[in-house]
Amino acid sequence: MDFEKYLHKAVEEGNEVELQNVEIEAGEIIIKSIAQTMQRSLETFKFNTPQSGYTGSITEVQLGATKKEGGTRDSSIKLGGHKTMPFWKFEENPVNKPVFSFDTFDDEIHLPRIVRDHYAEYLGEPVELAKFLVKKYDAEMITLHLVSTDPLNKDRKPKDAADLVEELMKEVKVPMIISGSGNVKKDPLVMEEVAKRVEGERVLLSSAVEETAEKFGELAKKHNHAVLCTATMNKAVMKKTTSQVMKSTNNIIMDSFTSPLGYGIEYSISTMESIRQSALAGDKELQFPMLSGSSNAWAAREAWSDIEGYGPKEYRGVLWEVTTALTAMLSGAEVFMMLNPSAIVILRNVRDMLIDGKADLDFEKLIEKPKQR
Amino acid sequence: MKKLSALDVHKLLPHKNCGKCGCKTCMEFAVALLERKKKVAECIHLTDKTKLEEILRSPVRGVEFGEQTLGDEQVMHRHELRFFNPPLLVLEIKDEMKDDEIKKRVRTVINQRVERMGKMSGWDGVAMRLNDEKRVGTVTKLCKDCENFVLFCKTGEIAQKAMDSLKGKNLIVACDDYESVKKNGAVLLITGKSMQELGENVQKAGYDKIVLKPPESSLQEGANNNVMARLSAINNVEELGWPIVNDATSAYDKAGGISAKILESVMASTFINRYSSVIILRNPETWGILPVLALRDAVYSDPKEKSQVDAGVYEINKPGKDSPVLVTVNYSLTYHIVRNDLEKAKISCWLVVVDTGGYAVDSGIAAGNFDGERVKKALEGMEKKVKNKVLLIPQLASKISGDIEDSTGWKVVVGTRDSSQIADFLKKQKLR
Repeated sequence: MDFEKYLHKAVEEGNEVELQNVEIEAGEIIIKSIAQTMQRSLETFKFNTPQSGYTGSITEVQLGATKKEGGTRDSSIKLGGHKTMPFWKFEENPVNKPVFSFDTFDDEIHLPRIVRDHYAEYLGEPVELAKFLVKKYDAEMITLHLVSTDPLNKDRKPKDAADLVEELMKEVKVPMIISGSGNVKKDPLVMEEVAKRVEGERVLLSSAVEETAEKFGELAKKHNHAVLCTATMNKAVMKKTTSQVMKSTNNIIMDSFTSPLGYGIEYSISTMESIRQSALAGDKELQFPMLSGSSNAWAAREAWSDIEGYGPKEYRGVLWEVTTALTAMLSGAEVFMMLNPSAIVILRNVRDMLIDGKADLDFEKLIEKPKQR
Repeated sequence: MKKLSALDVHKLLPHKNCGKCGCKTCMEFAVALLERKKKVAECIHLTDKTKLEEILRSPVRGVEFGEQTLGDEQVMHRHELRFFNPPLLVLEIKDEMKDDEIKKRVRTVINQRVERMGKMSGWDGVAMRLNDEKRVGTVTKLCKDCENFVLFCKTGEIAQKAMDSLKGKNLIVACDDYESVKKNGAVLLITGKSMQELGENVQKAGYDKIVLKPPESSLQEGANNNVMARLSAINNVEELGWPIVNDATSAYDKAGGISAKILESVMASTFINRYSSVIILRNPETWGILPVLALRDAVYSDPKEKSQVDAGVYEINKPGKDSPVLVTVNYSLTYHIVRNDLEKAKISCWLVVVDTGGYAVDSGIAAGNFDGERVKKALEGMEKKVKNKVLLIPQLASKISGDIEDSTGWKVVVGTRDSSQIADFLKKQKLR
């Protein structure tokens, strides 16, 4: 015991300990630690790039198809392909860049003024709006939300919805996300009509839930499209959903729901990071690129409401959507549904900063001047 | 790294179950130590604390900073355990600024607070850039009401002078003269042109109160280095296992005007998402720091603690038989906002809080956790308390209004987008 104390003291003081003719029973570990400490303090620091040790990868998925690829788009987009966590550049720069899709709607819906003012004259005219967004903001992608197909809304017929989609795709040549109303019974009927009508365009059909996933998968395979699978902040349900689609196709994107900044975004961060980790550890049912509905940021009152002491909402609102989407991007999302054109253009440049280090940082022209109050 | 268990910790405790630390048993204390709710020093029977402190030491070491701790982090992702210590947000002050400007900034740091979920948050301190020895006295004096400081000092003399005049404050000091910082017991900020040089400098310093400022010439480099430092720390590279300081004011070298302010906020949010322990900002305006504060609360919340309140019917301002019945969800932030708005507007009403498992209105609907059946459950017994069976639901829940009517048999009125608009709405609808 005294000897042990002596050894401890010796180690603490950094003394060299020499043992001769000693039988060791329990002291072995201590001696080893001396050797290690001695060695460490003598070594000079050498930085080695750390390794995550992930072995899996995210499936590469294409959205949009050019003429050569069987569609009529001017360009197509690739997502996925990554072998490590998002933006862990020391292991890999993102194989494919995140892309941003502008929301449009087939009906007039309530939009915050800061969003609406960008294109008030085109509200309720999605085709004209999409043309404008591509021309003015170089939209890389357009989402059409078929909100009026909802039986609780106007219950627009699948055929009429498909007419609109067809017209949109004739007029606008970027890749598209076509989204139903979220009605579980109606969406498959709408998508059946849409998928057939714009066959071969590799549209992202939005969105399949557990009950409708198998049907969505069949439609995507038959008409060459991709499927957006949704499961709200639940990895197990997401796996069930993707596995249904995987019976037909691996053209899958996942949406685990993005809560607005300040209203539960932490759940979204953790769901996405956990999904990405499982995918990289080899879970085939989760090895797909992720989507973030960052437009949800506008549900936060900090984004659109006049609140005393919070400063101009023109800046706040844009920043709220940007920060929501940025957080989703750093958690692994790589395709975004967004609302405010300024927020999208800013985030495109932030993306470029994170990937190439280069970007156009003149945001001034994009942002509305605060109204005098 | 092998995950430490409460049993591993318990082994090293005195097993007296004396209760002096505030825990009933030593096992409870062991769990509290692991969750960083208690400190080793709180056990009065422990004679040799070294071993315990050693096994409890996080890959990113904890650096005491007054009442707060910087760092003391163990994981790459919050769901793997949690992140413990939210980064400090500090406002930049330069010695070349006019005294009035400095005063204004100090007032901002001290007074500018926003309330979130009943908690006030805002600036945590100041970052001073001191280049002119003659200004040190005045500038530090102007800031004497602040508690937390990051000092960038051009020379050892400046550092000494500043530390002398800020005695008793919590100080992080950056200057080439490590020894003078160590002598004063302040936290030493270490920089390097590369991760290699950073590690070498840490080794050279040979000190136990360190924060790192990895190279961050671009946002890409800064974010990448922060991840490398954290991952290295978890892989037992001790030199990089210290809290990290990031400077978002480099936004102003890259852009101007409003663009720079937006970029600065975006950079700060990137650093919040990437392990920073101290973030320096220049823009004092609330709109710039607001999203950063919200993100900080989110990222550093405990993933095990669900932020929800009990479901059921709450009485607001003594409601009666004719008072309206309002529906909301049990996500605690939503509940507190709605309740606060109703109380402020002096509305007497019944607030039916539906158990959505802690989801907000829109995410609750998306998850299938907010529907007619759940509203029905929350409404139990309510029909006896009011004359008219009318429910006012949030506009974001308009999609499920039919479902709620079918399940509950109550008439549903779709209300406003935001609870701040309810007073006007009730007046117009004559429901008040």
